[in-house]
Amino acid sequence: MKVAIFNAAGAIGARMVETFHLSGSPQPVALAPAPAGLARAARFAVSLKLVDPASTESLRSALSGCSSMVFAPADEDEPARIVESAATLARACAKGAIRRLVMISEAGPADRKAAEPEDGAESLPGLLPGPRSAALAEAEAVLLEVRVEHLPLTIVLRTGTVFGARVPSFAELARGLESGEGPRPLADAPWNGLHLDNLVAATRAALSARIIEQRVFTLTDPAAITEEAFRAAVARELGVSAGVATNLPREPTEGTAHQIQGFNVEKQLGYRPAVDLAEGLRRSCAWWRHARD
Amino acid sequence: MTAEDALPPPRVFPGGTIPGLLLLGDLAWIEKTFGPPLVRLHRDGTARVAAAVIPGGTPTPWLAREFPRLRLAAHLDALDEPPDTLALIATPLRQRPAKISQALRRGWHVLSACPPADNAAETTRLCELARRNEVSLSVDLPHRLAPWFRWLRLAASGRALGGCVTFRLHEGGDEISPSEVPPAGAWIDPGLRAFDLIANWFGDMQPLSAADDALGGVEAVARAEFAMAAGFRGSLRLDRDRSAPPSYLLRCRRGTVCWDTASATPARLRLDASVDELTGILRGREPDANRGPAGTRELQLRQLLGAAIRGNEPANHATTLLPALTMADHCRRVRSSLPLPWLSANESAVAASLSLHGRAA
Repeated sequence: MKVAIFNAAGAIGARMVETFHLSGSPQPVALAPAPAGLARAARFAVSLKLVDPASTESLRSALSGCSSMVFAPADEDEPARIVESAATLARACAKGAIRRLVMISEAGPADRKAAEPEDGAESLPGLLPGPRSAALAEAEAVLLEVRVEHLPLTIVLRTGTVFGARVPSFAELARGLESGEGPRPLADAPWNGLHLDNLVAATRAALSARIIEQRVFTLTDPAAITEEAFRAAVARELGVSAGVATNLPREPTEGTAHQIQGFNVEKQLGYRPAVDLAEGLRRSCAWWRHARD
Repeated sequence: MTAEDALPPPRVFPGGTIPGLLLLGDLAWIEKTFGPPLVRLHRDGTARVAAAVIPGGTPTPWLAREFPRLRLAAHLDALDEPPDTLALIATPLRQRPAKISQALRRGWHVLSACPPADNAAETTRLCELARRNEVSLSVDLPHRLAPWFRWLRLAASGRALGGCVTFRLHEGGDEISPSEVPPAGAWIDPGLRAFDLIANWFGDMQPLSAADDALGGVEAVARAEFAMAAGFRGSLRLDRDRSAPPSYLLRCRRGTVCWDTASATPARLRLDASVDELTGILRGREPDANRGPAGTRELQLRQLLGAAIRGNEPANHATTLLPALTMADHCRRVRSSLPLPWLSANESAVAASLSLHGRAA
């Protein structure tokens, strides 16, 4: 199965190309709007394609031969560009060979405790406010409407704050911790995080799950901790002081948001997390040390 | 005195004709990097932008607006420009040597995007072809005319801060050539600029180690360590993954020089001994912030046109890039694999296999 990944320039797209290629399946096709955006994917012998996100023809041509697609806006994508890309993508997928479209909507659920333990998408937590979240929500709507008229089945993975290799916000956090700068988090604010490798695992599941109706899933990591605890855990992994001593929880706390939301994703998509929080932190900090030195 | 005052006056060939310019390749890149200098040279009569190769036949809005009398052709063969025309060639790297050869055989001088070819042997062949046709082959190396380049070279020379003890160069934030798919590897872009800096500042070098992250494709991140003929060591990091802006650190016996393009105050000088004489050489020669990339490219074009008229070798002749290309060749030949510690155990095993057997470049 060939799966087109757009935008391969971002941290999520780049890791997806990397994981899919190194595991041998599905076969990734890297799409980006500028040649520089293909530098990460070009490390592998994979298909690289330049696309104009405003041109239906350009996207349609790039998607030829692919049966699935992942739409993962990059961190640097402007909000207006995200919506425009989604609209063009919807047109390009129309009556084409794309059977499944997975959108990664990394907006960070504002309140994951608002979710109900049901399978439907009606009770989803809201997105964090801001132009990027608004654009992602609009893009979700655009792509979910595709199903009404045409074939692709759209699955939206609405994620928490993604962290891991190459993620700019994680690099910023690590840099801030090492330099003793950076904003202090609210002590009791919940950490709605998701390790990149778990997102890739969920995407893989979404691409192959036997599901006949389009759905929106929310996805965060199992461990229920606060932002401050997460920050302290990163600091410990980096060997610097965050000024807070907190241990990572070994198991998800009973009744936490993970059990509420994970039930949905695991049951319907067959998703299993690839890494726990400790391993996710180890990989993320290993990347940071590699990138920094 | 402003940068413009210092520019050489327009020159003409014997008989009063002014040099013609021909544009070939990525016109968007040419407009972005050479646009303002080309317009200025055209308007002040130093050169005439005369022709362009446009496969589709329709000029870009910029070309149509600035050079309405431009001759257009779908192929290089269809143009009949006179000898001594300067061809500005920015085609994709794979096609570049063929197009350069074609232009040189027509008796045209060539200014090529960097590099003219992706290895030293092919570039040497092109230089020889230029010599036989009695024309010049120069390379777009605007950094050599940038004030910061000369400022740091002065520091590296040892006259101000004593001999260099070590250096650390980071490159990756900006590309030096037209972008293309698949991209050239990091050893080429921006590696060649870094190798050129090292060769110009510190002289001959020997790589002690070279590693990159290519896994069947071309590298996005590369690292190398060098032993310099002058007896010290240095390191280079090329990173198109994080695309950090270029930064250079030179540690000398009596002080440290940092050049960080991302900083509001890019130049930082720390003296380990507060001796006035030490600062005297560098003071007053700090980089002129007014001369940006467009200014250095205009100066480069003017020097090149002047050399063509006088029949001299241009300063940026392709032979001067050969040490950097040789070093890139060497690093690609001896490279090992960079560790990728964020991969899972299974991924690492596959990556190790790809790194050993699957390198395409």
